[in-house]
Amino acid sequence: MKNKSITKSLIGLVSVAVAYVLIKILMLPQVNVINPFYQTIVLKMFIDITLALGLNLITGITGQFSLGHAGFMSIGAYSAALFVMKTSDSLLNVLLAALIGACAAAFIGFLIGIPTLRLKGDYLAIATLGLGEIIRIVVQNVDQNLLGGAAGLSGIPLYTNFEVVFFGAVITFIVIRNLLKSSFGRACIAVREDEIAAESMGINLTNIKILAFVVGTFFAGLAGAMYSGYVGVIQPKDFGFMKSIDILMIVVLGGLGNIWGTVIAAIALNVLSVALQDFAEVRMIIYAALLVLIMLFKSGESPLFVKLRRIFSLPKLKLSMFSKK
Amino acid sequence: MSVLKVRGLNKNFGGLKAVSDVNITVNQGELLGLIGPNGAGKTTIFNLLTGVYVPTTGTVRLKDVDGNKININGMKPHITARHGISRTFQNIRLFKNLSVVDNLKIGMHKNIRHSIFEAILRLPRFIRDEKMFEQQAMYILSLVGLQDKHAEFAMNLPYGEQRKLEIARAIATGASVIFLDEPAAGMNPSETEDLSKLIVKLKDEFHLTVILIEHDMKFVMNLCERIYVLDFGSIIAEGLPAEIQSNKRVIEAYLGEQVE
Ligand SMILES: Nc1ncnc2c1ncn2[C@@H]1O[C@H](COP(=O)(O)OP(=O)(O)OP(=O)(O)O)[C@@H](O)[C@H]1O
Ligand SMILES: [Mg+2]
Repeated sequence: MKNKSITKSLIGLVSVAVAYVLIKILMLPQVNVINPFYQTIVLKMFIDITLALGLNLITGITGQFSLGHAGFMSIGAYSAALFVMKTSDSLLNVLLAALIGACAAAFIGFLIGIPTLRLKGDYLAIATLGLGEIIRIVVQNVDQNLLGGAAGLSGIPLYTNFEVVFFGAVITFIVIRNLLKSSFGRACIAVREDEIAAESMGINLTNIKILAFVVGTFFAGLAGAMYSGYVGVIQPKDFGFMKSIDILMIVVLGGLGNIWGTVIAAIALNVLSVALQDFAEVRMIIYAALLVLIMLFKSGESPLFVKLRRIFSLPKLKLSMFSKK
Repeated sequence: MSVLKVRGLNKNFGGLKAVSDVNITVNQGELLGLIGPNGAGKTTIFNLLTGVYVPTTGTVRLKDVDGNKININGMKPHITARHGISRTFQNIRLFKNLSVVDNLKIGMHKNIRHSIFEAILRLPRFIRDEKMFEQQAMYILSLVGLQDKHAEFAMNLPYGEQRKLEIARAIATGASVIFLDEPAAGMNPSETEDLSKLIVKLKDEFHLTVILIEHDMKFVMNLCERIYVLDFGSIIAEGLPAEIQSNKRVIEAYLGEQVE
């Protein structure tokens, strides 16, 4: 059993290395498959993966609906940006900034989680939506000299390169995956599946929910920190409700609780939005229509969709086996 | 020697007195039956004793695994679970999207000795705990005859096996007192027969005290050592199966119901 897990870790390590080298080669000026424009998309993609994996832990795996993820991202973004602006963008400081951003978001996540996670379902969704907005408004109005008010922070050193987002997303994936395949992860799923049964089997619901929330918001903060050094300018309005919905969309599209699905959905959505950029006017309509179609395909109840799912059941099955063990 | 002493237990839902002034004493290692017509308040009593509901009034005194006597009334279910109480549910409540063996491991989570950081970093204490959980879970599964299905999703098991899995999960918590809410419901006579044997076997193997609710009278009368009868929230009789079968009030309570 131990040998098997070592082999698995090795395979994982090798795939990460291969992916890294492959993307690097595609980015080489001589190869130029991923040209500088596409490179910015690739960076955004990895930030999205980090964001969505954190939300998947909270919403997909533990079943706690959160519509405030972008708020926690902003906490990470602002604290990391401030830190780098006050110090320097040396590698050490960037790593420190990422850690500070993640911890700040997790700390606020902890404070907010204690009262809100008592709520269930729709009520929790509304509460987190409200809290996400409160974070945004507080950031906008508190200490304009420090945080820049509605205009936000500009001139943030562009410290986020491919390595930062790549390893940020890989670490996030490994942590969430290892957590998922541990006693804590099973407890999270148990809470999602049946709170009364989980509690009767000795699971402390509050602890598990807060644990998921803190870890999830930690990675939202990390993603925020990476985002600051990627755009250079951050404003409160970048972290509004719509951003939270964008992240939730990735999680739902990839399948609640399915971490490989999250990765694939984040890639697919970014590719889709690039592919549609030439159709400026209809772009959002096509995008939205495709989302509706995908959702219908995934969960539509009418005979047509049930049939379609059956026809495509082979690849779908394979995908879910991919995510299991 | 009693493991559980229930005194003056009451539960009101608004104006409804679901449980009124119930006294129950459960002896160590006993196989106790709780019977009564539909809506008598049996499940409510289980919910009160396991912490799902808070009693309106009354005390529940438990002698826990270490022999300490504590009041558990009003404690949350995850606390009563820590004190060695576990249960199954009338409407099966398995973790449907977890594998059979993982369902058992949920019951063991409260015993983990590693931290979340050790789990994320896959450190030795995590590996040791996981190995131990796996062995214990597979052993319990082998006793209930589900070891071959350990990797199956719980929702894919046939109904009878889901009931067995719930019992196995309750045992996996390491509980000493187990409440079974209608374990034979929906089973055919031969399955019920097997279940009786299984319950006795598990009770002996794990030195359990078992309290069970069941409507199948043949099952209850053959299996239980002592029986309490509940009607409209009150205990109307207590005694050996033979005594209960000939008790006038019990017959009345059931005849009144037989009209259905
Ligand atoms: N959460 C609740 N809120 C309001 N009333 C409840 C609640 N739980 C149970 N009751 C009521 O309490 C009474 C006892 O219900 P209970 O489920 O304990 O009966 P039971 O003896 O288990 O019956 P059955 O044999 O049908 O399972 C019923 O009238 C029921 O409607
Ligand atoms: Mg009942």
